[in-house]
Amino acid sequence: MTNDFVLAANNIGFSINNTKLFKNINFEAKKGESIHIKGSNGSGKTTLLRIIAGICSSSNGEIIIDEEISKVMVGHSNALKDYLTLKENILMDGSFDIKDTNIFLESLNLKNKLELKIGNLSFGQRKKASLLKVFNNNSDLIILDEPCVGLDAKTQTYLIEFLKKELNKGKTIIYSSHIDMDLDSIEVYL
Amino acid sequence: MKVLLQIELFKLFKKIRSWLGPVLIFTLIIIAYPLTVEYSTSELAKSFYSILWLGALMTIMFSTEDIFLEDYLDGTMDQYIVNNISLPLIVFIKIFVYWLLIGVPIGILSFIFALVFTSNFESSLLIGVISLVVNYIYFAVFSFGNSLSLNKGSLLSSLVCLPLVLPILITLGKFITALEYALNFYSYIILLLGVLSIIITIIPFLISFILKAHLD
Amino acid sequence: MFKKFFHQFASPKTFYFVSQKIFPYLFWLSIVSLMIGLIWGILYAPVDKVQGNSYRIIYMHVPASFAAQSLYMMIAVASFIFLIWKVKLAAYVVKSVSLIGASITFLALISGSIWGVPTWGTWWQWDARITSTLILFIMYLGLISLHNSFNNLDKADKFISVLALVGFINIPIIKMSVNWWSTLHQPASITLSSKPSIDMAMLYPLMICIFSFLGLIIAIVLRAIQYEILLREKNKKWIQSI
Repeated sequence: MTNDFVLAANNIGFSINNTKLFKNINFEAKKGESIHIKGSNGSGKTTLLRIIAGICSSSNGEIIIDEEISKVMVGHSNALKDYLTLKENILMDGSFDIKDTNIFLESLNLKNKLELKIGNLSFGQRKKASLLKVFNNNSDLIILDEPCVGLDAKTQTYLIEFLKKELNKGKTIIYSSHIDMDLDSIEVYL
Repeated sequence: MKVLLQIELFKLFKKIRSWLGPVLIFTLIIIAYPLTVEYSTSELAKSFYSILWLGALMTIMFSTEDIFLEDYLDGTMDQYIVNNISLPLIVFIKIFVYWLLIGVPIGILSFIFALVFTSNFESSLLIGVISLVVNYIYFAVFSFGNSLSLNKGSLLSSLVCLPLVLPILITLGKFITALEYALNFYSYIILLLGVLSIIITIIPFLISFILKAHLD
Repeated sequence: MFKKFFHQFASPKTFYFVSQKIFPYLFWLSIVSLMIGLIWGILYAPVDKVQGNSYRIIYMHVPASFAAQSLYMMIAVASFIFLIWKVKLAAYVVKSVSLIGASITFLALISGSIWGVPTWGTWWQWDARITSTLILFIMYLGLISLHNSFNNLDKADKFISVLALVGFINIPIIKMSVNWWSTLHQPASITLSSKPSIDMAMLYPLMICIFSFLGLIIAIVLRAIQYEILLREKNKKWIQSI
């Protein structure tokens, strides 16, 4: 009997300075499912994603998550060092080799940018570079905070196709996006 | 852990102005010092050690300015948590790397400058060693200060931590007197090593508690 | 049962109403006894053999420095309570007391300086006690500025608590080391206050001043904490009904 359970959120609430941002958020995610966090600007989508990732802690409620689940997250900030080249940043991530990423670098049109410093890349190129860790992931849970921002149409389609394949592999995706990513997700409203 | 160490070392090493700058500033202070005093060796020797210790202190205080700030701002710190990397370990490695690239050169330079000024090999060696120990303590304390005021990115809290290192300065003064009169200076070395061992163990946990609170 | 008492005590609402009741008595009693102590000390206590009339500033200086140190003790205990048991009221205590503590320490330093002029002929001396008081002042300033640099008040509370505790651990260390250091330097030619050897007629007004000043300060602290409670919990119903 396989355990399909990945993540559950029980009555999550968050408040700053005694003013509530959101409350009573409940959802459950199993393997192969995706959850789309929806809400207007400032409703707390990023905060909720960070709570799920374990970076922030909620004011009330709890996240129940399987202990052995490994996560990967791409948020608003890139987690890339400006003064290092793209190649050095990839190597520093430690978990994969340049050779593994070659296919993705080709498709993302970054192959010839390897020796450029991140500071010299455009906004979209940096976003693509930060998404590399999603393409290369071997985690069970993928958390994405507005992944399509700054990407051109071709890359967006590429990303969505990739995520669909990951779902078929049994991974779980939780994301927030103003663009409809057509992933057949459970919707959670803030 | 070895991988993390190499990564952090590489990161800091590439950011040349972050480590070479402080070392050069320290050198500049010590070289400029004789110019401020009427040139006669006895005058120089009187406050030379004070300049040495204070120069190291100030340089280190300013060099820890963005030890955690950079990672906090560009999202690397979030990644440490998502990837379940132990935050105290990262803090320890960061402080260690800063000490390695800034504190150790300052220690070696202190040894060289002490040799130039006093021409006594043994005492200069001791001064170099003490400088290494004390520099680590400075890095730990000022990183703690920096972590408190992370969101403002200012030196504010590092300045507030200045009183915390005053006892160290006093110990250093006593140590120099003991050296000069050939008294038992080993007790001071042991004292400083004791402080170092406490600081090495406590500070990473303290700082990671503060960093987690910042991210909340 | 003890836990229930403790939890009740830790509620800002209880604290507010209890201190509202206590405040008038505490305040007026302290003012009156402070007046008595000061008048007795300044007008009626005998003239000092060595220092003449200028020693009378002790009636302001010693209460101020005693209060400054007690307030830091209060902050340290409150920080500990906040960090371990997460009692919000303790965080309010730390925040409001740090400003009061800074002003009192400043008062102590100034009055000490003024006392120094006729006795040592100098505004400042680098001896153990004065240097430790100066460092205490810097610590208070650090607490205030740290709290003010945050927008998110819950974070700010955590951080000043940590800083207060680290500072608290450091105070005995600094005292010891500065003592150690000042034995190398020239010790102060006249010691600041040697209570056992002070004359009884001077001691009584001094004790009255110390305790009434402390009472006054505690009354002010209560007011400040009430203010903090109003500020932070203004969304709660019980405040809007006042």
